[in-house]
Amino acid sequence: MKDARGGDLTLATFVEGPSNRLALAAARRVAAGPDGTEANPLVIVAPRGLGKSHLLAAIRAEVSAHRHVEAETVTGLAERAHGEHGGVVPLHECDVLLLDGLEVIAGRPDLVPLVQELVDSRVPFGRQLVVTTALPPSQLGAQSLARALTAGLVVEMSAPDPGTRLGILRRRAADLSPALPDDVLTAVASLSFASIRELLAALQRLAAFQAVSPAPLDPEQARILIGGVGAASAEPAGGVATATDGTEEVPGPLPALDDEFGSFLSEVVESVGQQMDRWRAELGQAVLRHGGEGYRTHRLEALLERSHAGGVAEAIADFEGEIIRLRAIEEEAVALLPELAGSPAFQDPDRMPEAEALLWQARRRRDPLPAPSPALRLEALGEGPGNRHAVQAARAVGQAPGQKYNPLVIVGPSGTGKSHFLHAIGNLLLEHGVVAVACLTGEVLLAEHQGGSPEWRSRYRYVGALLVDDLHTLAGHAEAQADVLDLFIQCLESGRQVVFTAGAPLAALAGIDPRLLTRLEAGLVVDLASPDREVRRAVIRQLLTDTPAAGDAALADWLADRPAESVRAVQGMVRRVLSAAEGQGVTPSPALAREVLERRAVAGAERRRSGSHRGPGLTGPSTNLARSPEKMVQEWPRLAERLIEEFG
Amino acid sequence: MSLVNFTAREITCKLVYYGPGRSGKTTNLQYIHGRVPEGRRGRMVSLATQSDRTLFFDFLPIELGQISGFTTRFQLYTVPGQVYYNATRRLVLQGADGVVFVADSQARRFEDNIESLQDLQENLVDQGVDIRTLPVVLQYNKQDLPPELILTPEELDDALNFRGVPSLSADALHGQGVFETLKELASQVLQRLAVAPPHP
Repeated sequence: MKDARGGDLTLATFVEGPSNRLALAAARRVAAGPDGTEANPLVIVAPRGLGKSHLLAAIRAEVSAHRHVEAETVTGLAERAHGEHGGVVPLHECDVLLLDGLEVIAGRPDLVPLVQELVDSRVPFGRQLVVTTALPPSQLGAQSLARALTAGLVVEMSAPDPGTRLGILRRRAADLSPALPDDVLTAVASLSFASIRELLAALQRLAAFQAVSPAPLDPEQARILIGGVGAASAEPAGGVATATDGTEEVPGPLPALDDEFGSFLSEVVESVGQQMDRWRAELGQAVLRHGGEGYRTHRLEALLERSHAGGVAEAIADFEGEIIRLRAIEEEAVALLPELAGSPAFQDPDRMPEAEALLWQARRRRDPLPAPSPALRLEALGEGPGNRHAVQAARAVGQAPGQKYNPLVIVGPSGTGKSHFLHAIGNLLLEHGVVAVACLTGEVLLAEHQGGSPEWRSRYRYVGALLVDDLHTLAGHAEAQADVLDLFIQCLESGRQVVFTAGAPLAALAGIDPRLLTRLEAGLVVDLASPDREVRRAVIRQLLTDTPAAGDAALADWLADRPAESVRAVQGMVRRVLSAAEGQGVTPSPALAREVLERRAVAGAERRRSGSHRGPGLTGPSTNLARSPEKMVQEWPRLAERLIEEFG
Repeated sequence: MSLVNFTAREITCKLVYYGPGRSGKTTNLQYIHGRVPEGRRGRMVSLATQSDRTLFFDFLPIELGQISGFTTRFQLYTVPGQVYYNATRRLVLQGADGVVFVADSQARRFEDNIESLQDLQENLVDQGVDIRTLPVVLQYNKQDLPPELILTPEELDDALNFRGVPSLSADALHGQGVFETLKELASQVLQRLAVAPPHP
């Protein structure tokens, strides 16, 4: 962690001197072993600007690697009491609590019980407490609290002596460019300053003069420049500094500065320094606060390395907004899945996507995604001229999800096996390690979407693959389409596989957002035709598996020879034969199949022939059957007529 | 004008001295010019008539050097006080980071002060500047004149300082109150450094 001027706040960088030796020794002892038995509470008393916050930050830096440390200001404690910043419970339960700015309670008696409660919940139980205050405990206006505090170790720090000041100046001057001569630093150190902040402001002022001065500053000029603006006065021990009388010009190589202008310049330097460093102080406070709460603050710490304040306020606000979001995520995720408690992702705003993914996983565990049916495998789909491209594309998707064919769109009329393909691809993806494969129909999608657009987006946001059946059913549902489009784009951008099926060519789909259609057209679109004989045979053999006719190739061939417009029609055909065989108690055979299927066809044809639809030698298609040329052939009652038609 | 340019690491403050004609605006700048070391000041540009009335504006750039790593400069302007130079005043006022309103303490100039202050407010409003947020300091100049000729600072405060902004007495001719006024305005302007939007 850095201080307001960019210095590291560690015990090693704290310049030791007679005025702070006791406090530094106590801080070292607490940092080395905060077992809460010695120096508990440790109360550091010092006026503002003497390094109390430096010591707190240094203790935190030393201890936080192996202990749970919380850091808070007394003002922040009041906010926590109202439920903000995670409440007060962590302050009671942490291993080490660093409480800054206790003097506030002198004007806020309402805060005394809060602090008293903290002391009572920690000190008797050996939990370390370190407190800083600008007022001695006896002047805090709370006698009981003062007694509790003085029961520990109270150490005081006073304004640094010249030797300490020189040490501080040398350490800070090492970062200045151009460098200030050491005798100048010695001269400045001989002046007394009320606080280290004022000392550093003086150093900054000298650095500004040095930057525009053609020659190096000498000690006398430095004393005049510092003393002349009333920021410091010569100590009797130093005995060499004299302030200007308001009219005297600075001698030596520095350009002659009229005192009025010098005074003006000094004030400007101080104002600019204060204003430009204020953002560092605010950043430091934010780091201390949120780091104490256990959050990773390296993003804010990185900002301290910057040389300007541009966007810092926004960065702090964003960071704090993300912490609020993280808290909400952690709360919900842990409630759903207690084993997620303590996940590091919940403590690091830079790992927000990971935290959101954990929450998503927890929600998914409670409410699983629609998964592909394990029964619908690619092997069960025969490969033929009509579906060869689709099969190959499915295999490619399974072997390289999200890479080769993304998106993949399968188009075909009803019953041609689109859904089977979709589930088969889903199963391939699962086999290849894709997690969270969402395989849902358009109807299901719409039904879930009616439960709320944000909920739907949240539910599917982290799917490993998105498989949507029957795209055409989304027609006219603009809001659902918009969310699908968003998710679709997210999936594509993150290399997650997307597969859609549609009942008609994309160009013929009405009521679908053109943005979605154009993106789908940019992928691979494969058409599924009516199942050819090879496909029909593969489907039939699959359906006959585990039946008494499993090895009956003649039956499979006979059934495959019968034309069918869709896979569903083939399935229906096989089921009728199997059902009849089971009803009659016989083994399925081609003869039985012929009897079952052709008898039905003949019966149907005769029924129609006796009706008013009889034509001149031809039987018209039944209104109950699909209007396909192949099925019309099957309705010829006699084989001779069928041959005449086929060869005619 | 942007107060802080983080990219170029520059701080530039444009301060405008406003007020009725002959109230002492140019005198303020001349005094400052005389007190700024040569290496720190630019050439004071002053376009004046034969009778020494400011025709266009005065301009005094002051280089303050590197402060907190930023090259810091102040640019001081005056406006012509005569009523008929309003277009020039508006031009000079554009982008001001702070305004010193130099009032003439003479009782006979009371109405001129009022008129000029109203003119300042109108011009700021026209430029979309909220006068409540713009740093403004009132300087009651010529307080060295015989008491029977001038109004006291309290009387001038009653008449002009209805917003309660800082007000200072001055004798610009001899330098009294000149730098105090500049410091007061600079302090106010620099308070806005931390809240000023960053330069792109």
